[in-house]
Amino acid sequence: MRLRLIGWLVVAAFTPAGTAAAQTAPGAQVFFSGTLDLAYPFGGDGEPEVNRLIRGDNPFDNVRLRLFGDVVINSRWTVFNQILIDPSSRMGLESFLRSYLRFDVFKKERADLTLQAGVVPTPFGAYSPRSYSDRNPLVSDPLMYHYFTTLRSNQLPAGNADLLRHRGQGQSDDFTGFAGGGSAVKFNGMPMIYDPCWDVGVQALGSAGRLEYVLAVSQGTLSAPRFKGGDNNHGKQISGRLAFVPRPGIVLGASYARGPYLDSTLKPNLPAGHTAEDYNQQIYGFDAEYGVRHLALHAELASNRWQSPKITDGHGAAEDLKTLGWYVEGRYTVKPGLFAALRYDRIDYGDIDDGTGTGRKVPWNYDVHLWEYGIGYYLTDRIIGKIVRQDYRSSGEPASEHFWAVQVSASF
Amino acid sequence: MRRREIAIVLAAVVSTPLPLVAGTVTGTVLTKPAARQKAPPRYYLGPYRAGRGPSVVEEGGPQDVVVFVDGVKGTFPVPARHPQLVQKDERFVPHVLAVQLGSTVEFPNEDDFYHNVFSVVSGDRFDLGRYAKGKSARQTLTKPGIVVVRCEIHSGMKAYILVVPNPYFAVPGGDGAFSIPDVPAGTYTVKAWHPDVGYQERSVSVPASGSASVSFAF
Repeated sequence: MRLRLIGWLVVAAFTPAGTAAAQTAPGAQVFFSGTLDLAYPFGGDGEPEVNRLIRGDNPFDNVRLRLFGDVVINSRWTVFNQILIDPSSRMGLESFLRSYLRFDVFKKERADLTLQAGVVPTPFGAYSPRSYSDRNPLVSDPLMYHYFTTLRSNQLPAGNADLLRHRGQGQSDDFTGFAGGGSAVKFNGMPMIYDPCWDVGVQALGSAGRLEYVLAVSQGTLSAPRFKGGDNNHGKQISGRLAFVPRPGIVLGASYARGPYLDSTLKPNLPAGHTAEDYNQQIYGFDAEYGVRHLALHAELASNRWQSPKITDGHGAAEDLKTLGWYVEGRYTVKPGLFAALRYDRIDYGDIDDGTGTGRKVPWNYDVHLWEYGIGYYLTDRIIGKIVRQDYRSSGEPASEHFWAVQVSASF
Repeated sequence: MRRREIAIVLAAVVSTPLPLVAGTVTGTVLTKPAARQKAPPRYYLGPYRAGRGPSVVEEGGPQDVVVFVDGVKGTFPVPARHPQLVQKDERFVPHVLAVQLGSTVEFPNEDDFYHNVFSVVSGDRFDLGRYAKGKSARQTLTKPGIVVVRCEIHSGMKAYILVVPNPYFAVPGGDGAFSIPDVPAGTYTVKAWHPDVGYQERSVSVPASGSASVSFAF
């Protein structure tokens, strides 16, 4: 498998730059393109650790190469492939391969419908299209799309006190986790939405008038996508987004997702009569985009809750673990080729009973918020240089960290 | 009043080259057009952000070539008419535009969604900002050479403007044939430029009347 992947990558790397086509079968064409990111964090009193992703990679890693190989079979069928190569990752290349098939059912003047199947893009929120380095005016991804909580899909907190005892530890990849049963493997906690890792599923998407929509059914959930195909329980996630475009430059969207996130292997640790499918992640999202002249603004908010079997309200009733994530981001072109960008970004955790019998409520994890701001400059029309500063603050430890970073992003 | 009118007429006569002897440069251009992805459609963005046009287009044909006569001496008035580079179906049309130095190019948006035209590669750097369907922005090009035009919102959109020093240029038709009339008699370098290949040059002697032929193959 790895050899085949490397062969595929070599072919991609040496194919003429841009999007020129290679003929494969009669009528089918393959288009190769990609991005190469070189980054270097420096200064400050912290590391870009808060930006690390589950597979061990990080947008601030020194080298990241993303390759696209799109097979246009005909005007209605296309296979999209992309892979990320990051030497700092702790997982194999196959973990970074995303492939999905698109079928354009119809395209009319006022409506269209497209179906997609495979490892499909995140059908929630509005950040995914801007997650690539040539579209992202900054370097990191918003916290709600990657920051690890302490909750895991393959392990259970034994109760409120156990969960609270581990606050702030989910970011570490040697997080041993809880006493409530499950995997003993050291690993990170789950994010609210793991956008860098897509899910296996099917999607219907398109538009009707000034509405745009996507509906999806997938194996995993937004917080625990199953990118390798196998399912971790017998439930499916239902998700979707509906957006309204009242006029050019304004987009207002609402998203929803619900699905069971726990592994079936946890069944022996669940309350009698319950299965993994009884415990869901449910998340609502709202997004807005506004553009005028040289200014582009984006904002998103997601209200998320996980059902966890042994978390109670102090009186024996089940209590959900809630998180609220949101960000606002602006980008302004100062002069041709030069832009400034800023994002304010945070996650706040809901309160739970502290498990001491006093009735005191505390957040189930440490709140985090982050500023990232900087400038970018087009060195050529295909190469963007950015310099950013990131300031991270938490209600836990460390209370604050900051660093600078430069990134050069080339698209080809 | 009459003096002013005479002065205007005289100025026009002096600034407009009126060669008494001029020929035509004709010829053909052969190219190998290639299919290209209009934009890497990594995500479906919806028709109000990315349009409904085809995802694959053909580029690099003869109509994407510019042929011009280099080295013609004189001063050349800037044409009053503004050439257009239209944003339509998430593409720039035409893919290659030729203009005379000093021309002001219009960039009308005919899509239902915003574009943000900019150029940072060489020549005049400009960023026209976001504007909606039916609106236009303009940019005067004051430096000769290649201007690479892109859209800041749709990364797959790309066009070229070749800014040439005089009015003696042509874009071939679909059959590759071109004709550059009224070239002052003399020996010149005729250049042809293709966005994927670059320049080719031929030396051509333009007769006092009649035509000189030259061909290019990319």
